[in-house]
Amino acid sequence: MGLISKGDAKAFELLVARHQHAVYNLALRFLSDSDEAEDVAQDCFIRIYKAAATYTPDAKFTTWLYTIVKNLCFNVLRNRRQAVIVSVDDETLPELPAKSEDPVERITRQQVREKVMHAVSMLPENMRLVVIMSKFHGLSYDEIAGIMGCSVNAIKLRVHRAKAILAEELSDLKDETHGN
Amino acid sequence: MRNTIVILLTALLLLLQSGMASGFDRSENNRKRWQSMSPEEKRRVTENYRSWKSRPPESRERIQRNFETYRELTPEERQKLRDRYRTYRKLEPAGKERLRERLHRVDPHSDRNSEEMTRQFRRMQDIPPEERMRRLERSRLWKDLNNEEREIYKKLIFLNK
Amino acid sequence: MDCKDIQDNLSAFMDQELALAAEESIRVHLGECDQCALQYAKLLKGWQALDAWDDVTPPDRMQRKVLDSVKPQRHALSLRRVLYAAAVLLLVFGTAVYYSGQKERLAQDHLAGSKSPVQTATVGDISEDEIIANLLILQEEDFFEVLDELVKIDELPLAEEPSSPTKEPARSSLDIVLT
Repeated sequence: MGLISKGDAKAFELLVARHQHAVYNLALRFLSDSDEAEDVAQDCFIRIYKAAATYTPDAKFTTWLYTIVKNLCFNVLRNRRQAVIVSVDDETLPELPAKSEDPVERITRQQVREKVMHAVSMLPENMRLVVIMSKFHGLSYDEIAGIMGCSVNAIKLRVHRAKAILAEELSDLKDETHGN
Repeated sequence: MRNTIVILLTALLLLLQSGMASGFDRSENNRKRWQSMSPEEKRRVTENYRSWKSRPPESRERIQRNFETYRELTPEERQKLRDRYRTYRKLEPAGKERLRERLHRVDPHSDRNSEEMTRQFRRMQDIPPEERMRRLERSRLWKDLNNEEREIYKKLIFLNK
Repeated sequence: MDCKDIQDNLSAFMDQELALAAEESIRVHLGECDQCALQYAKLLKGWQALDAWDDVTPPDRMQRKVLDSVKPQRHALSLRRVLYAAAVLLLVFGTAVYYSGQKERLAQDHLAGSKSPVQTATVGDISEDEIIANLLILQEEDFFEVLDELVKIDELPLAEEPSSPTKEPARSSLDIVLT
């Protein structure tokens, strides 16, 4: 970060190359929209670049990075909600349309993936983000607590609840794949 | 006769009042919304305003007409169009242009008023998506689409099943 | 521990967060209790199913866009200075030209004996009232711009119906479908 604050373009390029995959995938899983994920990732790195001069390493860099991504993702959700409130009298967002389920249909990995994505998207926002950071980014509960700004116990509780919800939502998965 | 005139005048007055009140409420809501916006959002809206001002009048009229159509739709119908828009945005600019051209072939007279647009939208919802998809797959245009576009077109048609 | 305690701790057990003794007693219980074992299997399956959600490679353009967008900022200071100086010069020069022209016009008007109302130029093209009046459209201009196309997408299957010998307007082919 020190090099970036001195205008070292190569250092910044390296930082983007190293973290873009994680940043993009976190935003993509959370927002389920590739355009918005791309925007979030870009904004995130631009913010880092701008803030490089004032960055003080009191926390791990990745904690800071993920905190920025989290904030940007929540901004996107807020904008989406505003857009819906502005234009739709009824605020409730419809559920994703139920997928047609044919028992003899072959359950491909893609379909399992879709079911998983759907199940995760059903989780409350804070819980969803915690699950994504824990499961896909391998962050510790301590680190997630630092990013989310809450206690470690609160994070554990969210993960535990999420596991129970996902267990219910995905309970039929095995039977379907067996039918394959 | 006199009674009828009184009733008609009263109704007219009430109608005017309610129209004015709703107009007033709307502009008041807009003002509140504007005041509660962050500087970043205001900047974005102001940019949109500049681009809005630089549009030719017919383009502005079209957007205005589309907005009026949207206001006539039910929340569920609005949501359908919003979901569809999210998929539509995934098309590359060239793909969007091709889609636009194809849609123009469906209806070269694109100046439907908002009432006609709403009616047409509702009529089309009566055709099952499977039937629409079947027709699409048989059409010549399907052959010109690349795989990515086919997926998007499928989604656009099936999204609101 | 009874079944409820066990089930409350299954997630922590999965994460290997429990003390050794508690972990051992859950392990023993799971070997004996079908119901808890089933619940554990369900939890494990749900969590492991998430592995099917693969990572996606970010588009190549993303990194390029980020690097491009910070590039101008590196030169921003010097560029800003140049722009600032240019703006000041333009202002001074413009004012001088304006006033000299005005003087000339006034002199000419005076000579012609006409009353010359000094026109006040309206500066800026932003009208807040107009923005507020059209706020809903402006917030989502892109969406409203294409709304008629989004409505028409349902008619897309009719875009290239097998060509019929008679040229019928699209509206009537639509009516055929609807009947």
